[in-house]
Amino acid sequence: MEGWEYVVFSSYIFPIGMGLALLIQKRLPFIGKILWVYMLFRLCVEIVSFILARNGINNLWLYRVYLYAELVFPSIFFFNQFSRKGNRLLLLIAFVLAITLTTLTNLFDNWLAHASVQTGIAFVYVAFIIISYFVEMFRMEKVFNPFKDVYFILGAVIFLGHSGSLIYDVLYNYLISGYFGSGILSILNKVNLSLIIFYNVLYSYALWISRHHPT
Amino acid sequence: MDQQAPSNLGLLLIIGTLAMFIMSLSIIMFAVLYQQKMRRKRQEMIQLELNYKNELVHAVLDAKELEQRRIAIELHDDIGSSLTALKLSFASLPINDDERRLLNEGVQITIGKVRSLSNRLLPSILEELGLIPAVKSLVNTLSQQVQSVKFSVIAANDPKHESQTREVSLGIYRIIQELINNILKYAEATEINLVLEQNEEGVVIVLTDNGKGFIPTKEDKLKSQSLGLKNIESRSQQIQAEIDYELLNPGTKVTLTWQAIETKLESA
Repeated sequence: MEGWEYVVFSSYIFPIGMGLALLIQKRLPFIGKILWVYMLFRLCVEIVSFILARNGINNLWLYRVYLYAELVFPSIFFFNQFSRKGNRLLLLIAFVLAITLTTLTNLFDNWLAHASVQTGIAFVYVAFIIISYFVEMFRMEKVFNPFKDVYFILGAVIFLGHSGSLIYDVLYNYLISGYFGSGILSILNKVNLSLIIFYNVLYSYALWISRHHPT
Repeated sequence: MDQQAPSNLGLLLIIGTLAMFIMSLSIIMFAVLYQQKMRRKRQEMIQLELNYKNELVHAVLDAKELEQRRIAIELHDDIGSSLTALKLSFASLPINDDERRLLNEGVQITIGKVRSLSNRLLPSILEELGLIPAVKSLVNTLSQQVQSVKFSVIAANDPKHESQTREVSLGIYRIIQELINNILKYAEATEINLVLEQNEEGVVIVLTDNGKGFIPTKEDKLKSQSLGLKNIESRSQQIQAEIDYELLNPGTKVTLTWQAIETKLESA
């Protein structure tokens, strides 16, 4: 599995390298900077998690910390995309609720066990934001090329990312115990890692289209 | 049975994961398709608006042409005749020959100016002899009026195609008038060369000058201040002619091409 993990680490070179180059050229807007920090954070978590696992230390607690970032970053990305005050307030309430629920469940959970419930909470919250963003797009009758809109690409990738790994994350404990069969965990792991590479390519594309054009 | 269960569950898990992925993808695809539909609609709206604007411009140009025609006829028939009558009436005035000559000269100059104005508004020569003689006459008049610029015309006047209607000839004439006007106004040129070619296939006009080069951008053509450029653009659209600008060193080369309908179909 290590080979795959190295490939996944390498795939972070695209968004982080491109983001860094654009940052140096001062061509990254706010959304691009946040996305770049998000990618950097994800890579750090992947590396720490890998090192911990390699040294036989439980790394599942790290995923619990990471899930907070999964609540914070999409909120920063999409908060300004809602024009109505009511919608923003709703988003804020949903955010506070998601953070509270995650913290409460974390308090009663074993920190060294997989964060299944918290993954579900994060998915519901992310799905709520992204679907609300789409609804806002329909309501405002915004017309743009979806393949050249950084928010749309970002929303699509985050939504796909959470949906694709939801069942895997929620049922992780059962997968580990071999309840679903011995080979299934390995298959899903590979699929998940492949999808991360795919998402990283899409994140790189999002960074690329977010750039300022030189004047 | 117990051993079968985990593999079935595993399959179910994969199907569930796939279903989740496909469901999210469907939502995203729906949004993409919706956006594309909206973009198509917006494009259609823009096209409709553009067509409406074009029709409006054409209507304005037609009205302007009609009004110019009316004024030209008034000038020629009414004021021109009155001035001629006035000139004739000088013969019966109790004045000496020098004074009569002075008055006659004054009225003759005025008649000439009225004729020139009337001709500019409605080039009767265009109707009588056709496009090439009309353009030659225009250049001839201009070369007399603007002595600082050297004009030259090379023309090939073969029989025109039947689709080259009066409107097409008038449109080309007005475009040439506007282009020369622009050169005289802004280019600071000392030489203007015109090559005209009319035949069964269409009309090609090449206008070059040795002034400050200028190629109008799309924005220039749309600017409300650039009325001349706008007129050129609208008229060329109206008669479906193509105008190509090329920067020379020094000066500008403008090529106007109007293809007869059959030639257009052949090239298509």
